[in-house]
Amino acid sequence: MDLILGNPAGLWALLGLPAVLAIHLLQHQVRTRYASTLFLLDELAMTGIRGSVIDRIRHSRPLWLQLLAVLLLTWLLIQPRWLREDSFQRVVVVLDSSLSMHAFLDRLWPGLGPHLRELSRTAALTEFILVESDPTAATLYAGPDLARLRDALAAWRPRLGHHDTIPALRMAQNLGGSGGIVLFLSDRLPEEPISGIAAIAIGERIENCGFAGLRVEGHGPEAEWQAVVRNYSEGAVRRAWWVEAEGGRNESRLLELGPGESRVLRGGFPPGADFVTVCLEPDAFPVDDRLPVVRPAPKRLEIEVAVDAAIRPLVQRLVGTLDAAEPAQAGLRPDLEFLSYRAPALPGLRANAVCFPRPLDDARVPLDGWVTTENHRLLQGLNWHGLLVDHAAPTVVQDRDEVLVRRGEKPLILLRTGESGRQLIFAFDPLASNAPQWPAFVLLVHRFAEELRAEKRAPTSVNVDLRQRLRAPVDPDGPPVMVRTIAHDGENEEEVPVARAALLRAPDRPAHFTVRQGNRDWLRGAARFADLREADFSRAASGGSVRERAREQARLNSRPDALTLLWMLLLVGLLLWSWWPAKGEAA
Amino acid sequence: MIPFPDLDLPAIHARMRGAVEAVRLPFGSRSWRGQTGNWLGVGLGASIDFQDHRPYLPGDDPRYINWLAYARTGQFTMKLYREEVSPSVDLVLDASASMAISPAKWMRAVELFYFSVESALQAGASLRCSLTLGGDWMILPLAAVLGHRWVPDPAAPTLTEPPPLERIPLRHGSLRVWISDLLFPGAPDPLFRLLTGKQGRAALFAPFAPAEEAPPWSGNVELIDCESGHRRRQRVPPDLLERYRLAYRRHFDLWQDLARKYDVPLARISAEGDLIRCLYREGLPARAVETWT
Repeated sequence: MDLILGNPAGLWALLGLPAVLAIHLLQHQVRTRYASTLFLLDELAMTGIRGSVIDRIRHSRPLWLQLLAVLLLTWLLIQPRWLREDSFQRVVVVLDSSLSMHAFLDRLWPGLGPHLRELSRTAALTEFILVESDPTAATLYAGPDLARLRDALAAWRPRLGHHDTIPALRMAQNLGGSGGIVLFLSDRLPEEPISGIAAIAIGERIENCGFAGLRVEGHGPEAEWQAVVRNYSEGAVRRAWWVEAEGGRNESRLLELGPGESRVLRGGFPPGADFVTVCLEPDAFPVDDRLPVVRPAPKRLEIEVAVDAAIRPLVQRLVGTLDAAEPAQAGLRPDLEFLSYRAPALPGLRANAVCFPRPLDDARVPLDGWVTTENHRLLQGLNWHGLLVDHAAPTVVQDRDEVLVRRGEKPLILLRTGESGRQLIFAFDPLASNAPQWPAFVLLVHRFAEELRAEKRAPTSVNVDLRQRLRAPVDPDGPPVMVRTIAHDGENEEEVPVARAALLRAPDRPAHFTVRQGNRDWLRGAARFADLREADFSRAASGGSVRERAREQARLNSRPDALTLLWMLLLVGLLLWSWWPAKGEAA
Repeated sequence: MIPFPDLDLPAIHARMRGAVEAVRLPFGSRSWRGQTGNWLGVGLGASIDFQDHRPYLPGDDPRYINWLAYARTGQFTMKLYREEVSPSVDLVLDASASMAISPAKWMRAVELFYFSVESALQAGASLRCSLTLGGDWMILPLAAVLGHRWVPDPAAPTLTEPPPLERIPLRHGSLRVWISDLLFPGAPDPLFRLLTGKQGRAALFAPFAPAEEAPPWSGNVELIDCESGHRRRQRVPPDLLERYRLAYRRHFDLWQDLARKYDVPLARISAEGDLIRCLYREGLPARAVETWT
């Protein structure tokens, strides 16, 4: 049976040993005596004439009894307990998946190992479960072997930005069960204690300077990138920066930033190079020191305008505000068509379209009541209550139609989906309302157009955040998708079943990437770190302890020393015996 | 320096006046030279102690002719009696600081001093008191001794050295009574020769404190020589203490051996206990004192 110290602080009582020794030494400290026979001492050829300040310890009964009493007292104070052989516990370690943990990867085991070893001594068998706060990640390790847990820890890399860790911690508590222990390893201590969770922080305030944002202006050869560099530290920093492209790099330049200062770096793409990486001199947090950028190439939206002359100026203005929009080629099916229709008849659904009614005459229906909206993705955050419209076209709502906006019982805007596409149908004349000046009207048309653009199968290049969901326009009936990641530390290619292509995410570290199906790159991108909260280490700290929890766990998994009463009596006996005068002393 | 403890000298003197009723200095153990007195001299005298007969020689005192023998034999025969003289006593007190290492030891020394004074006075001896102090000496006038005004001031620190007996004018044929603890380095031989020179006879009283033989030193002690003031830090383990005791005994064994060689009674008198008992216990066997009977 293993011994557990119920109160390790009781070991301080061992200081009584030197104290007793000191007392027995000091009581014979130098005393001054007059002597009449010093010449006799001089005649003795002895060594060690000069004595030390402290006397040599002398054997005596009180000395040994008091030393024994101190040992016994220590034994009682540490509250020895004996570990039950059938005791079992489960320790669940939740790693903070925040990217800021990248700065402290070398501290994971030094910060966690001692706590785990301490906990492993509080039960005969301990099962360790290593998970991370990313709820989608698999369990990193489960078992009793700390060495294997250490290996798993060494291979782990955080992947998420700022995220809520509570769900993962609650899941860990469920994993641990009623007697389990949950440790949360992060680079900062939680602002408030989390019930049932032992938080351990391994971070510290470090000086960090990195990229905080990216903007690319223009397309094609005129494209220019603008990168925001921010100094998160409290002191000024000087960093070299440069741009890498096509395997080469330009000459590095020096960047000086004051405390908390941000600065914008600008540059273009070298001719023929679509991928560049803006680099900062590395610091303790390397994730934001490289900014991959791709020359953006949005999907072109081919638009055909076939509306009445009265509403054409309004439609032309709308089309002009769409990004990467161009007139459809004659004879080819457009990506989006703007149409006019005469109510109540609707145009045929031959393509994706935005439909406006021709001026309403006698067929118009007076409107009454409040403007209400559906809870629909196209309407999220849009306000229609100020829309001033008095009459609507008589429309026939079909089963598959989605009425987005209505006034009273009359539909004002419908979304019709068919085999050939979707139609955004306005049942009122915009020109007879304040719709052209109403932001929700313009935004709705934009959202509809962008939704169509996203669904269009065409190659595109985008700059995204790390782990951002990708919308790769791959052929659902085509071959598997190959995702190639090009980071500064190497390239990686992964085959993804086409059925899972919709779940693709950008790389979890700064990198360029391509999504290829067959022999065509459908998506080319650059993933960048963009979480300012993770780059700010002002709250990073170290601390946390499992000592209390370990003590409690040890108490649960052990039984007390059955001879405590005997030891107490023996202690009293020893003290009395040591204080009892010897025969000569009594006399 | 250790000051001499204040003692009630008149009281001590009074007690010693009674003590000499029990024992006395060894006046009776030999013949003396000196003025007429109560003690047998080495020559012929008018005492009642018969010594010898011899034929009359011209010039003999006719008072000592044995007329009864002349009547029987017709020959002048001289009846010789022992001379009765008053012995001379040279009393020397060693007043070095070691004699006052403890109040008891100093009291014992003073008791021996007054014992000797009273013993000499009662014997009618010609008493001369001297006192050695460090390397100096002085004669103590008898009036000062009897008036109890003789205790010296503590001397300045001096080297530990033998008392300057060679500088004290010891009288011819006197009884030299020396009171000293004998705690000084050096060979005792010259001192014995001085004490027994000039046909004198000596008696040594060596008061000692038991703590000198078995000092309570243990562990680290800082020892201060009571005479020189020299300090010495010394760790005293049990084995060193044992060797010290051995050296202490050897020191006095040497004195005892030489005392026997020079036929000088040497009595070591403990500072503890009653003086009379100590004199009986130590002085009588050593013949440093004698009883009246």
